[in-house]
Amino acid sequence: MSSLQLAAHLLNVGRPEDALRELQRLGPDEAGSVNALCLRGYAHLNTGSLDAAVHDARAGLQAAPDDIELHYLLSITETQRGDLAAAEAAILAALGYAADDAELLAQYSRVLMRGGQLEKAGRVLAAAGASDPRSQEVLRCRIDLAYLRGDTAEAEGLTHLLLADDAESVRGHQMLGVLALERGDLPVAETRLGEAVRLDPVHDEVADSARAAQILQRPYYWPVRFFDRFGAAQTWVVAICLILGLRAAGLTVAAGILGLTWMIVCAWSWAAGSRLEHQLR
Amino acid sequence: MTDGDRLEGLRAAVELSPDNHALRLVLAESLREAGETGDALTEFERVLDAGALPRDEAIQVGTDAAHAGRLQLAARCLELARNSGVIGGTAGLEDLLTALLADSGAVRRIDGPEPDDSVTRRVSVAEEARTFADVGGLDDVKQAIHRTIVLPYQRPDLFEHYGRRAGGGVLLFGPPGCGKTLLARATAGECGAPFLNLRIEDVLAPYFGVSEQRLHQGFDEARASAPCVLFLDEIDTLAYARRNQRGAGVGRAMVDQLLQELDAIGADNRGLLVLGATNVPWDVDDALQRPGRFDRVVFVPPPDTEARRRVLEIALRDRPSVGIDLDALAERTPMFSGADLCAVIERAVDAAIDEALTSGHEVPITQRHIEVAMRSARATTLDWLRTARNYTEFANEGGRYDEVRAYLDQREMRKLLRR
Ligand SMILES: Nc1ncnc2c1ncn2[C@@H]1O[C@H](COP(=O)(O)OP(=O)(O)OP(=O)(O)O)[C@@H](O)[C@H]1O
Ligand SMILES: [Mg+2]
Repeated sequence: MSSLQLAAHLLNVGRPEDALRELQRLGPDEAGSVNALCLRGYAHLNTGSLDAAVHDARAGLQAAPDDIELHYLLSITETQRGDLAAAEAAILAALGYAADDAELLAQYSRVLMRGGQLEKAGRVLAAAGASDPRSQEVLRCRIDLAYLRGDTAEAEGLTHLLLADDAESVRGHQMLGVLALERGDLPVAETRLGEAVRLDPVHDEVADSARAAQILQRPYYWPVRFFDRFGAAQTWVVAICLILGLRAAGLTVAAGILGLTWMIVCAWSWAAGSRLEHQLR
Repeated sequence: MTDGDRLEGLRAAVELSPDNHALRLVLAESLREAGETGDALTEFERVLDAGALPRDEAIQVGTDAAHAGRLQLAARCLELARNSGVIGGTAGLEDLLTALLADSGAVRRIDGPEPDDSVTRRVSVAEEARTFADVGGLDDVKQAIHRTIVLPYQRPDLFEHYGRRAGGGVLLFGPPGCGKTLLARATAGECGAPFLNLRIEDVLAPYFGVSEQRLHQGFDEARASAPCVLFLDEIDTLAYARRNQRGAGVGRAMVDQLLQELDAIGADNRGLLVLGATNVPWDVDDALQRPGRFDRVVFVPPPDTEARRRVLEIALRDRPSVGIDLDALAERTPMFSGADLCAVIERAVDAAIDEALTSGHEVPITQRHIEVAMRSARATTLDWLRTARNYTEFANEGGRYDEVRAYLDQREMRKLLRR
């Protein structure tokens, strides 16, 4: 069995470092082949060595200028590097060979979303959906687009579609968790984010969100929930207005009690907040 | 001199010097010319085994082998042709092979398992010569392994008495570079039962269905040697969680095959202990963790102080050094993996070599070089332990990971893991 095949397998099973090590064992002829360069590019991309990935993709394209996979790889890598012009050029080059390919169109929409061109991204995704209505990648892009547009209902609906197709979609669970967190539905946020962590535990931020959703449900944290729910600035304004209003109306005692309560709530909230932070660390 | 005489002469010569591959090649070619294809292929195969088959023979031999129904040999020739960059004929041979494989109905069985074509590697105890004494520290882990793996083979009577059978599945997991593979080897030395090693490299094959066939063959070999231990290192590469697989690689079929083997469908796994190891338990297919499969897990933590001292000692063995305080160094390197510690020593050696080059005379490795090396040293297990904490917190069904959680929950540990 060849090193190339073993490398491809290792890349497939999430071991890009091992794949790179295996690719290093290829002879000079094979290492320069388009196949090897493409694998190495993906391996570099997956280890976060974006410059090396770009280098491999460009080297491969020199030998095979019409290789769609290499253009696609280049576009993904350039998007991650933040060079959106290069990313767009690469994906357009790929689309020049396969204009109806749903995955390529989906990647194009990602480039556009990164650049804030949501309108255009939507049109590209519509074309992608038309050419492959069952593509999960297109669905994932549509979810991201809906979320970026602030259309949470649409994002949620589409995410349920994604999960119906693939019950173990990490992105799906994470999206539902984030949406639940944003609307203050802590139990749902805890379940969904927890499931996302179980499926892919390497992201500490997601794990911290899941923990926060769990901890915040305890009674002690009600002032934090309260401020999260109604917004800190708004609550402050309302509280101050109420206190001043009561005083102006001559109800000094009531205003005093309210002021005192308000101070306690604020202190409590501050203490709970810093305790939460401590617990998460 | 007739052709027959020439062949006889060649045969005798090859028998006299069996390692003369050039001679064997001439014999093989002569046999082919004389129309004795079967014998010719056998000789070619032996030349191929020795790595001496010329690349320009690969296609011819492969084609002959395919026509003679020896598909395994044909596949190896095709691989050689590919690897050595033969262009003419490679695609033709591939098409021929694919067609033949399809014709045979099931791709599952290609060729009867040949005696010297075993998939597993038998780890001989003498050659390995490792025991628990070679593994520093980790006493709890050794004890767990002793109870679950070694003892059932040494005292079957005792286990019988309590109604327990030797065998089943045990999964070692822990951060990279912390001795899982080393422990498995030491287990081979300890338990006295045959210890077979099955690696992804030995299983993975370029043809559809062949990898699963080889996996099956590996298990069959192990069952034939039972009671024995079958070691599957880096088991995540064999049984990668389906959810993360991109595309339809060999992955899914392989996981299904592995599950079948573990469940002993149509086979008898009595006396077969399957020992797995992985540093990414979260990437291992969930189905593997169901009862009756890998239902026992053993956590192999980063080396403790004693183990670190031992690793440092081994790394410095046979190297000139003076006045290095290994105890202090072991104390200073909490959560360093065995590999991290080896890296520290390597860097110290580099520093000593640099000094030798500039000063013009050889200097031993000293504490000073260690200090230089320690400046850029860091424990690589911390990221792993954080991920493990995330995982065990949200995926601890049935208390499977209680042991790790207790470990990670220690005060010291929480302090170390703080970001
Ligand atoms: N407890 C130990 N005693 C002695 N040497 C050790 C110990 N732990 C690790 N080492 C050394 O560190 C090296 C790496 O160990 P090993 O290959 O067993 O790690 P591993 O846990 O299998 O890692 P991976 O998950 O990356 O496969 C070994 O060569 C070994 O010499
Ligand atoms: Mg190992």
